Amino acid sequence: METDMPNMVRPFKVLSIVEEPDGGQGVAFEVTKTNYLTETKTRTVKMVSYLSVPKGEDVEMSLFNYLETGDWL
Amino acid sequence: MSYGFLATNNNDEVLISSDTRNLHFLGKYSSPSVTNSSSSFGGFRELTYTITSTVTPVPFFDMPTADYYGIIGIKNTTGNTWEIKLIRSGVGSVYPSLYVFVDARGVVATDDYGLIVYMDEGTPAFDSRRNPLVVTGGTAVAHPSNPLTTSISGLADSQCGSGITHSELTPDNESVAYSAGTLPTNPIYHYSSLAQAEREASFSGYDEDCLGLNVYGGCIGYGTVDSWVSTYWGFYRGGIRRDGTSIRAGWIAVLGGCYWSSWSDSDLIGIDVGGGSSAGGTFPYSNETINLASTAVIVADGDRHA
Repeated sequence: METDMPNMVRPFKVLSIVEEPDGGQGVAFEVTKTNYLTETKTRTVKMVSYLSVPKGEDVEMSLFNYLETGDWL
Repeated sequence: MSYGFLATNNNDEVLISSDTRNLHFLGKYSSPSVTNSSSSFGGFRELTYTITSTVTPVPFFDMPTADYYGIIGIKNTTGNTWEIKLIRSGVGSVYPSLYVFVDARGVVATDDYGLIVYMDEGTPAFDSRRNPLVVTGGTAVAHPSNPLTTSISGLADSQCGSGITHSELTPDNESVAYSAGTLPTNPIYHYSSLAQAEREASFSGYDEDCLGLNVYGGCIGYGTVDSWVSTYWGFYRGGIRRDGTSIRAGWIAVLGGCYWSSWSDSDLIGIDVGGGSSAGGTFPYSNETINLASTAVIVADGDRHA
């Protein structure tokens, strides 16, 4: 089955995309992870960071693959 | 050119010309001072070689380990004294030898016989007695935009709790392998570290504590929210390393750090009863990679110029 990225529930969001000097795509993004510590207490961790995606490559898929290496997904 | 001297090879490329200055061997320098260093993010060493030269030096270096190397500065500090700065990745204490070349005016000849070609104003352009540089190969390398291919994760959001001893910002990306021709037994390289990159990751978190009734995720009564943000950053410069008979372009982490902020807020039955914060502005250089243009790597034979 083909995965349709836009229809998935994603914990990451693209904040902006700039063109890098070599023509690549500079992607600012945020990713969120929530843990329930106790019945009344939650902790949400959000990371805002950046990834260079080569020109022509799919931004969302590149982000997905990148974040998978860090246990965000 | 109506007069003068011009020697070319089979491809009509200029070997010696009375219109251009050839480089000649000034000396080999093997005892640098370590002027900056870090063990974070893979580590790096900044090495300073101090030399004496009457004209502008052009440095080559060997690569005694599999780490990344690059020239980051050539500075005339005073009179004929020059400081040449080189960086290497890693925390090892094996340092490269620097082979310095200058035009013929800067080298004293000791032999009585040889071939000298003069510029039209009377200074030597080439002098076979002064060990002229022989280029044996070369290429142009391009660094990958991303210093990091593995996602940053797991850093503390509160007060930079992960410090700079973590490895999340250690560079792990490099270029394809470039061939620089057939390498001699002791290859030496001229390469200037031009590419630069900065990467950062902000970790923010908040704790919600409900001291009243927690109903379907909402707090009835008195609740507090504590928030933090810590931004970890790394600064990188380009370097090359030898990979068998090839050259790869990668990254050297030369600086890293973190800054943080925190704030608290509280409310009573949904009414805000205290707290607040504000922030603004931007940093001058944030999440960018610059100077990615192809950079020349020139190769020579160190054994010819020992």
